[in-house]
Amino acid sequence: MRSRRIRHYALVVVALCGLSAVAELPADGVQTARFGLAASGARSKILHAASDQPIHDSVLVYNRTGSSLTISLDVVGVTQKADGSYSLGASGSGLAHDVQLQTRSVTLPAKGRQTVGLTINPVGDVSSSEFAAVTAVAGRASSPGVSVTERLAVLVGVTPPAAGSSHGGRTTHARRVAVIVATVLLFALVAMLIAWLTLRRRRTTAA
Amino acid sequence: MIRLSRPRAVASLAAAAAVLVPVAAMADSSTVPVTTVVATGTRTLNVTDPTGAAIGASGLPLGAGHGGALLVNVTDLNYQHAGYQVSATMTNLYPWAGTTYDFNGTPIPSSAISVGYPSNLLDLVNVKSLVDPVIQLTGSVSVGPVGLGLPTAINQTVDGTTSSVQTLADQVTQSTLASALAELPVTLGTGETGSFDAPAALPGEPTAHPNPTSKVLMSGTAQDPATAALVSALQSTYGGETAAQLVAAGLLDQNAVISAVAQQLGITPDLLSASDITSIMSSLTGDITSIVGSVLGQSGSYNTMPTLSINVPSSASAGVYRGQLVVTLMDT
Repeated sequence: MRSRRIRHYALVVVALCGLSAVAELPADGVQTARFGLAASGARSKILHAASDQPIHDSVLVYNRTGSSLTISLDVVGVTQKADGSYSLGASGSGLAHDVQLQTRSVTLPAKGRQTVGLTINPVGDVSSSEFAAVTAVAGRASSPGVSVTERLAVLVGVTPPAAGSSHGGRTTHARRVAVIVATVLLFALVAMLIAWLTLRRRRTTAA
Repeated sequence: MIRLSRPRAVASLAAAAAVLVPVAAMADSSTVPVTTVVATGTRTLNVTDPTGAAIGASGLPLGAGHGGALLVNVTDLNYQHAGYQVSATMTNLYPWAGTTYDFNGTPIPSSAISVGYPSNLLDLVNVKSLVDPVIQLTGSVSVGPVGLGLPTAINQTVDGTTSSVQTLADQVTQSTLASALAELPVTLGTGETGSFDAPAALPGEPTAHPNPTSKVLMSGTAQDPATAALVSALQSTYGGETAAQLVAAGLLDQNAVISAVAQQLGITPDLLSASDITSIMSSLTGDITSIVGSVLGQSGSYNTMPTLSINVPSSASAGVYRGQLVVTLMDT
């Protein structure tokens, strides 16, 4: 029981060490004059390979005004057309049905920003990429005739496992290398320690 | 003396090692902080009336006597090299009952509303590419005590600092777009025309609209512009300037110049005196020969002017109708 707990602590430490290797600073993204929305980290969109486990990610919402602002968030289905452009659909349709936001509304102080978590539920095997978009709107205009509302969106995609990547291009490669190097170093350290302890125990027993 | 059980000892030492390794690295007094610039700018959407004024309380009147035109602008400021898309969805127009939509009334369907581009306005303003130039430094320098150093011919290439390059005229219009396409870091695509066949949902609307028609109003795809044009533009601006001038212009780092020269002289940079460095910086001139890697990002302003028109059904009752056009900006 005690050794299981100790193993658990060791795993947590190793996991924390891994996390520190992949931490990234947030970058600014698309915005209107009043607010902004970005995928967390230096990415323009959120792409993940399909997984049988929930995928956790986040977006950053920020207030550009000098006063408090409430921003409504949603997830809409997205279809990629033959010409490569994207058609934004209704709330909760398609992949959007499997994407859960931590909250649907954030009230930010002047110049405030907040990270909002999102979870992509397992979507099973996908033969082609599926898309949704996290959208943000700061209040709905109400006016005579047609009111015009500015909306921002961050694309969310789930790709077939072979073609997928959790993040874009060079960042992914650098991150993978960093994680692999950190893991190998940790295993090497643990192996050396075990060997040292074994030798020490034998010597003690022999004495 | 405390003796640890084997699993606990292993776990403790592993934990200590995992924590101490990065801490030790940070505590190393020879650690040199390394900085680099990654394009993390902004991409801003602005939807206004054709004069650039905000569409506020007056909304966008449609119908006889009303233009229904919008100015859609996207502005990049040192933004990461990514494409974008501005699209629009339209709701049905419902009778307006003073303060709320009358969802029991017969709406004017979104399919009665069309988008077009009668003005043919589609332009780009002040488009610049963010690049890392390569600079060839040449010239003759004499180092050492005045009068004793022998002149040495220097010919070194140095990576410059990230710079914004403008290869095109301030404004590229639809008529000049085709000829300028190869020089754009983000291409400019025309919008889709036609009616909003399926409506989007209004807040509180009881009827679900699962497949709203989404019309692309403007789009851009990230591409690497022709390198020759970028090199040529940089060369015409900075070519032939001294190393000191290039440093002052932010195109070069002085340490990079000194390191390159010292390397060719076969000495370490610390052996160069202040007067040697002054002499090097004023004696060498630079030419931009190429670009390192790909375009890192871009700045620029992209405009289009879609116009909404309505074909009111003859069966529609007299009255005020309201609806909502949602214009969405998304990176692609």
